[in-house]
Amino acid sequence: MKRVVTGGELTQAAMRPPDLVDAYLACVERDIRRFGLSNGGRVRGCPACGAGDGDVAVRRMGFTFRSCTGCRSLFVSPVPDEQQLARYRTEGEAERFRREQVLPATADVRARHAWAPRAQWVLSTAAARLGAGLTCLHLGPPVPELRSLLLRSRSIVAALGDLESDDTPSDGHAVLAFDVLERTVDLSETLHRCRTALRPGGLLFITTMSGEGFEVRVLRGRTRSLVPPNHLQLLSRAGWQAALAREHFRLVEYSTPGELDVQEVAEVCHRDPDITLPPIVDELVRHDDDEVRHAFQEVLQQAGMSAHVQLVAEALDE
Amino acid sequence: MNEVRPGARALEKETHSQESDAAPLRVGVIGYGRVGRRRADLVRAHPGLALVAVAEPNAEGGTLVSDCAVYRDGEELLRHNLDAVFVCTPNAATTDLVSRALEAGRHVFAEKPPGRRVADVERMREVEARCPGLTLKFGFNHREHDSVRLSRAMVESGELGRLMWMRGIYGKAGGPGYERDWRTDPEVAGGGILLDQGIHMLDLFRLFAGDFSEVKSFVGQSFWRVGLEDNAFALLSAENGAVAMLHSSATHWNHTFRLEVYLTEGYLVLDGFLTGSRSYGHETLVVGRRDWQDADGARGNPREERYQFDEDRSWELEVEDFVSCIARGARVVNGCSLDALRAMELVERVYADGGWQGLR
Repeated sequence: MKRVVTGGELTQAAMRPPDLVDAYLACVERDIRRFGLSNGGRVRGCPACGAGDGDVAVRRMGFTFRSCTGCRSLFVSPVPDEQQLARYRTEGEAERFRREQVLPATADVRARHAWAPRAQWVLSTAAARLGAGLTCLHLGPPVPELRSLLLRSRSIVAALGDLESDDTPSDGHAVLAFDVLERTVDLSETLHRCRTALRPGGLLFITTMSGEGFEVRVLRGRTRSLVPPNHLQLLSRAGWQAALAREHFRLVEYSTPGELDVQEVAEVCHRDPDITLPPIVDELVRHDDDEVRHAFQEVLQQAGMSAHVQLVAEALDE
Repeated sequence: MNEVRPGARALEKETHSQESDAAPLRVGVIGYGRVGRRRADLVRAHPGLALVAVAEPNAEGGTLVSDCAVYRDGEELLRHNLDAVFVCTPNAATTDLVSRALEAGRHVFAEKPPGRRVADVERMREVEARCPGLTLKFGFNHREHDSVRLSRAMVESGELGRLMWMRGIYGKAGGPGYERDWRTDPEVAGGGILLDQGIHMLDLFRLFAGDFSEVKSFVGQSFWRVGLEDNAFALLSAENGAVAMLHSSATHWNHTFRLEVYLTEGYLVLDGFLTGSRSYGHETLVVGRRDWQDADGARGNPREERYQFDEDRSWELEVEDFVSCIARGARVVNGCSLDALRAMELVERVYADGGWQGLR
């Protein structure tokens, strides 16, 4: 099993400019009301391991996140139906604001700290495990930066297609599912589609938010990174193992290379003096010495406790 | 330098499933020490292999193992009905056993080092040439460590530019009883720490840079009074212009494996190595890029990614590759006899250039 730890100088303010995030979250709350996303919905069990109704863990923006008693994954239940969510994504103010304001304002930092490392991760992992001349498929909205980075190395990625197109092959070498599996209403069905598109030995690359990351565990419903219509399930490591095994995948890499947990917790506590952290945690996240804060973030990465997860699963013979 | 083969790993798996329908290869293991036992366990676990015999001079009354025939002598074992042999003996015995096994029609997997000197490898290659249907592979398992495989893929993708230089440190402490180990007996081992352990680093240098044309070195004793070198320092220049520095040591009181690979657009640092004893620490690979557009990068503090590896599959992958080559009649790509010859030539050139620095 491989794990990845990232060193660097990424700042919370650069990746998530506070004014834009505040405005975006206000849009999200209006859209949730407008489309009735938190009214009713389908009660469900854990989408990862299949265990029954979990304990209520977090309430945010009118949604209830439950913690699975089997695998500790967090999941929204009741979950809005797919049509409501589709309207939120296509007609909502929040998604438009994100596309038109947030993404352009953070394009450089995302290219540098998200897409470039992800492309490098895919290229090196796929080349080491599968060789060259690979057919890759992408799940989710197109990302031109990622496409360009991957195809720049023609010897490794020979073709990059869309998993949801009509002519999806069934013998792909790799599927890339970046920041999409947490927002799908039917995780099993989506994973099944990924498996169907892969040959045995093919690789599924996933990035998502962790259900057992430091930020969520410390801040619970006050974490600004948790946006319910986009985060319907945040799986734990055990949850990923269970969900992947059910769809004939084997987890071969699990890393949490997130860089922002400590900064985010410090920032939220600074904005909201009512939040009380355990004293030792409070001291660490607000420590005067940059090196201590960096070291603490690195410990979270090493321990698999950062909020940002990236994992690789190998498709098995069905 | 070995090429990345398209879909290589997938191909191995296909072959594995085809093999599972055939009768398993009958395997003997010569030398049942720490390494031999580990190989035997891998043979037992492999669906395409069946362990039918082991040979170990210290075997007493066949009590060494209960699931196969036991011999005291490798030559005796070779008379057993076998398809393949693993030679896991001290260096002095390797050449004769590999040669006789090939002459007896067995596929052979031999541990490193490939004998004690270049002439030994040349002799094994001569026999190999007379046995074209047989597979001969040497155990340069470091090539199969995940950190090395990932590094190779990154270097060969060209994404990090042209290889400029490498710096490799491979050191162990020797430890209590080191003077009495067969590895410090000049007659049995043929060389000191360079031949025993440094050869792995030389092999990795070749893996990344190809062949070397110039070698400068200092070799000698610093601590252990054993008649063989306990430290070797070498500077090598490759045909492609890359330069490599080696320090191989038996006086490295903290066990260390570190290989730095610097290219025109970035760098790789392999630090720590998963071994059976775990004494070389965690296996990590740091990847950094020359990035002068970024303020921190321009100040010599670029963003880095650190990959950590939790399992060592290198021995398993070597055995799998050996079986796959036999099944497909394919040439050995990693650890072929030419790799063994080139690595041994480098060892001899390091010895030849350095002269001997005696213990003071």
